[in-house]
Amino acid sequence: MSQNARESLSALMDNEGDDLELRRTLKSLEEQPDAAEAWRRYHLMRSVMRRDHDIDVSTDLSAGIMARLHAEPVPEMEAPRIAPRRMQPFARSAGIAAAVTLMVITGVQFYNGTDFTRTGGESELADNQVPAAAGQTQRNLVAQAGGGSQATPVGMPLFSPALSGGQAGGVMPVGASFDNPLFMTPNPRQSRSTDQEQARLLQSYLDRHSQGATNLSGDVWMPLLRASGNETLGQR
Amino acid sequence: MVSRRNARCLAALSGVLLLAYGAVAIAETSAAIAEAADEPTETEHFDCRQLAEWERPESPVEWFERSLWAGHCHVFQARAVRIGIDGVRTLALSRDIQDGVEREVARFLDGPPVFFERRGHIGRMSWSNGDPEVPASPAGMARHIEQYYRLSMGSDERIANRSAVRLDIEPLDGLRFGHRLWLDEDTALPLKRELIDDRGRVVETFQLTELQPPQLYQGGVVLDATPAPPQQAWGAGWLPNGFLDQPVDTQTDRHDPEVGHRIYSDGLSTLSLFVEPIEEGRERLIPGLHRLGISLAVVRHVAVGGRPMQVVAMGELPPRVLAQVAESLSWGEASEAPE
Repeated sequence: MSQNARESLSALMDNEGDDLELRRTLKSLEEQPDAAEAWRRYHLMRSVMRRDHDIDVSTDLSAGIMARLHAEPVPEMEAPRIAPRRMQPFARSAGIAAAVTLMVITGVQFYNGTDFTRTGGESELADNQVPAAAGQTQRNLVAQAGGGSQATPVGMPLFSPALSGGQAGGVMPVGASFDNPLFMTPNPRQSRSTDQEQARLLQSYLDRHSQGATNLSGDVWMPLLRASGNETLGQR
Repeated sequence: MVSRRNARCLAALSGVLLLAYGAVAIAETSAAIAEAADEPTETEHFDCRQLAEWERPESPVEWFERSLWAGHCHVFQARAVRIGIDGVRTLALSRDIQDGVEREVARFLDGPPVFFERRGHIGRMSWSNGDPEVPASPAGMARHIEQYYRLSMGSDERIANRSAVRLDIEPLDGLRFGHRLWLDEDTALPLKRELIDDRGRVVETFQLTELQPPQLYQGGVVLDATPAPPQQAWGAGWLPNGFLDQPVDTQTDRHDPEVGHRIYSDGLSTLSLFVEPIEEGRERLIPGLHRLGISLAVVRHVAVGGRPMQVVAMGELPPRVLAQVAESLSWGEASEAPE
């Protein structure tokens, strides 16, 4: 497979390719059987990197596959001149996401757990409250946010992957695929203290919501445990 | 069977009130909820003793309704686990009833010593709207959810060393979450519950691990009065089918009284709407989608009648549902200006 075809494939996978590139690649796929195989491998590589649980493993995940993945030249390393184009994908993908969902969400705040509402000893909580068994994805999110505190809001994608049809993974309805680099963006707008204030404020609404839900949903315990605790809900 | 049992509930309700006055006769024929005429509070009760006489439920919806009554009428202590987004937590639970008021207490057995407490009554299905006979929430909602969920029985299983009947409750549309319940074969108390999101993933699990033998409360549990609907001009302009305006009044010391709260439920899923004026010096949420645990909130800032307002739509629901609810509030006479 030629270097040009490899680059085209890589660009298309990053949603960077234009129509001309698409046509060229499709033509090369017809002419070079190994190009189709590379296309499949690239997708598999990307899926593995994203820990995509939905990848099709029925075809060729035999003993040699990892070796072949390692042996596969990495297009980014070989082709530094395509680097400037990599400025594009976030905006473009975000645009696609918005078009798909037909709904503009200006920000997603993700708060991990409710222990920030406890008074006092927050730094101790940060040490003691690293979530257990919450899945690799969540640990990564916490790590990306730069600390193990429960109170740390995580990630700040412009569009919720759950809204835009991002892939499934873990137990989280939103943010399940925050490890998709296309949707990651730094959080330039807020300091951590602002995030904590937001999380605390949000919990005050959740307390009232939970109080109402304990009266309604036929279940007391689950909504009760979503409240911040240490106060009596309902009749006092 | 459901309607027959309902009539019997009403009869027994009358009965407990009569008993309170020392009367021996049990009203078998009364079809209306009796009220204690010369008692200033006119509190109505549901007599829990009648559960012992009810026949074993057969259909899924009968099991569901029975589980709601059982949840209100039993006193027990238990150990449980909650498996959620923050991992596994172990809990000690206690449920009792004092003077007809239910009290639940939960305490985490690991991590910081947090307790959760709630006191409550048996709710009503809706605001009174001038109708004096609003059904009690368990009877009304059990029949209501059948229109929006598919209920089916799964295979029997063992939970907390007790025989359990599994009840699968799947939404008929993609606008709400599903539930899976394991009910105690003997008492119909829920032993385990899973909340399943719109993509079929279990997002929260609550499960008893040990249940001290539950006692059926030998008395009446207070039924909420039937309050008149609130006077707020605003309300949800769009809701998923089946979500009803609920007669619930909530408060917290951390909110200004101007933070209005309305709550809507289809019997299983609950959606909250908060509306408040935005004022200088008062904390506000950043517009957008927020998430805390498995609960989501869509926040909007809008100008209504020239006044900036904050709208929060919150619930354990698909984000697009919350977004649509937040987008389509009705404001009474005032109208919403473009943001």
